[in-house]
Amino acid sequence: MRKLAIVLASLAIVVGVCSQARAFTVTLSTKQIALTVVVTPSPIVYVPEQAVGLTHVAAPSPRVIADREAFDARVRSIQFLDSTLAYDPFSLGDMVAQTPPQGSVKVQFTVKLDPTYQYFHLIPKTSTLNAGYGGNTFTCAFEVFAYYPRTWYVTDDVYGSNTSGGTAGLNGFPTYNYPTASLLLWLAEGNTTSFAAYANGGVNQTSFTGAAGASKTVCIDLSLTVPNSVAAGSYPVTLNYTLSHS
Amino acid sequence: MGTRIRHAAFFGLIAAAAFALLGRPAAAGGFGSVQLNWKIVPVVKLALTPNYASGFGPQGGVGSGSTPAPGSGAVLDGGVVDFGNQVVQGYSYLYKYAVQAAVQTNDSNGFTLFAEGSSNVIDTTSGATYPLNQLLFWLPSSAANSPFSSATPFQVTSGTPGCAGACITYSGNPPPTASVWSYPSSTLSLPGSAATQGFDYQLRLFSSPPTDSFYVYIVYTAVGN
Repeated sequence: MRKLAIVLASLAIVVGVCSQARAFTVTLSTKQIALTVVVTPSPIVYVPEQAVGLTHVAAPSPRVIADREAFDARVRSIQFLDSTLAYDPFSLGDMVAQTPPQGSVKVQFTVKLDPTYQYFHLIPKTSTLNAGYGGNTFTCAFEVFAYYPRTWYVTDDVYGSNTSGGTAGLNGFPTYNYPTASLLLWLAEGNTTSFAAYANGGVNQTSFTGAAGASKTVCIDLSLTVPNSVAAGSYPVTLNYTLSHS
Repeated sequence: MGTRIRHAAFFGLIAAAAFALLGRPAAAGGFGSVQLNWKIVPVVKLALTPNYASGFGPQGGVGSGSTPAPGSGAVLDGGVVDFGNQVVQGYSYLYKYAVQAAVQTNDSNGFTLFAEGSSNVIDTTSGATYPLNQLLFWLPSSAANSPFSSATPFQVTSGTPGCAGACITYSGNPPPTASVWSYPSSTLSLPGSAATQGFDYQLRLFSSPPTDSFYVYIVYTAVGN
């Protein structure tokens, strides 16, 4: 009985310590930003030699050419006479004016206040990243604003990524899911000096930090190398940014 | 005198005409042919149905503390695309079954459907505008769509808006970048003689617009190919 009491007391201490450790870090807000990577094909298209074939077309005989010329002359004269008609729809070059049908949809919404906006928000600069095959850099693709009265830090990771293969439709190219490394890299201007791959295994990584009471608005540069194995097209990217404080 | 001369000239013309008609010798037997060409003017008809399926409305905003719901302006098979008043700054939303386009055409080359905003997004209180292409996006309806699915931003037209924003006058066709759907053949053989396509909308509030009410008109134009 005494042993049991000791074990329970020990467990209570461990639980208490763990709870206290968790209390040291408070997650204030997580925001997402969605971008679309548009991979455009190279303007130079390789055409295999055997695919280019020559087709032999026999030249028309002189009689055919003469007949054709006579026919064309008659057609021209007929068209000339036709042009004296008061109304000739075919003289309009088959073009008939008409108004394309239209319809419209009204879209409306009322925006509600984000209570954490004053502490943390993302500032998009573009919604589309046009990328060619090979290396691409996007300077200040978006900005992150952060502030808190206590020491704070901002972390990032790939939205939808996890330890069990990721989320269908979200974790393909270019961010993928652990263990495949993200091809999309980031750099927090003025805070980091080299590009790093986005964390995509369900664990976030520190992007930049700030002192108590100090705010920062940081440009995030992105880098992406598109391999030849990726087909041209549009690919969604959603990134998580989280503000935490001590 | 002058009048008499004019009468003489008039009756002379009548006589000449009568001679020409009655005294004309019968033409010798002959034949000819004429080739008739005609072009059937392609007809294109467009019908839009907002909130076209049950389950329409906004979803998303996870982590915002608010659950979005359609506003009172949205009704099944009609009304407006109303994201309601529970969408929060900084979050992204998907509006399911926003609009369905039904197009009928006898054009053998089919048609292309274009969609553009007649303006940027308008703040109903201040009248200020916010970039449409950062706020509102479209994607074909699919059960797999999410607030973060790949979507295309709507662009503001370079045409001339009219009808209080509900129509646009183009000089020529809308720009190719505004194309949202292309169909390659006549629709006459389809049920109801119409091809249909549903669209979902995404509202991305990452730029955190002010807490107010906003609206914009999206104008669809169908053009025969």
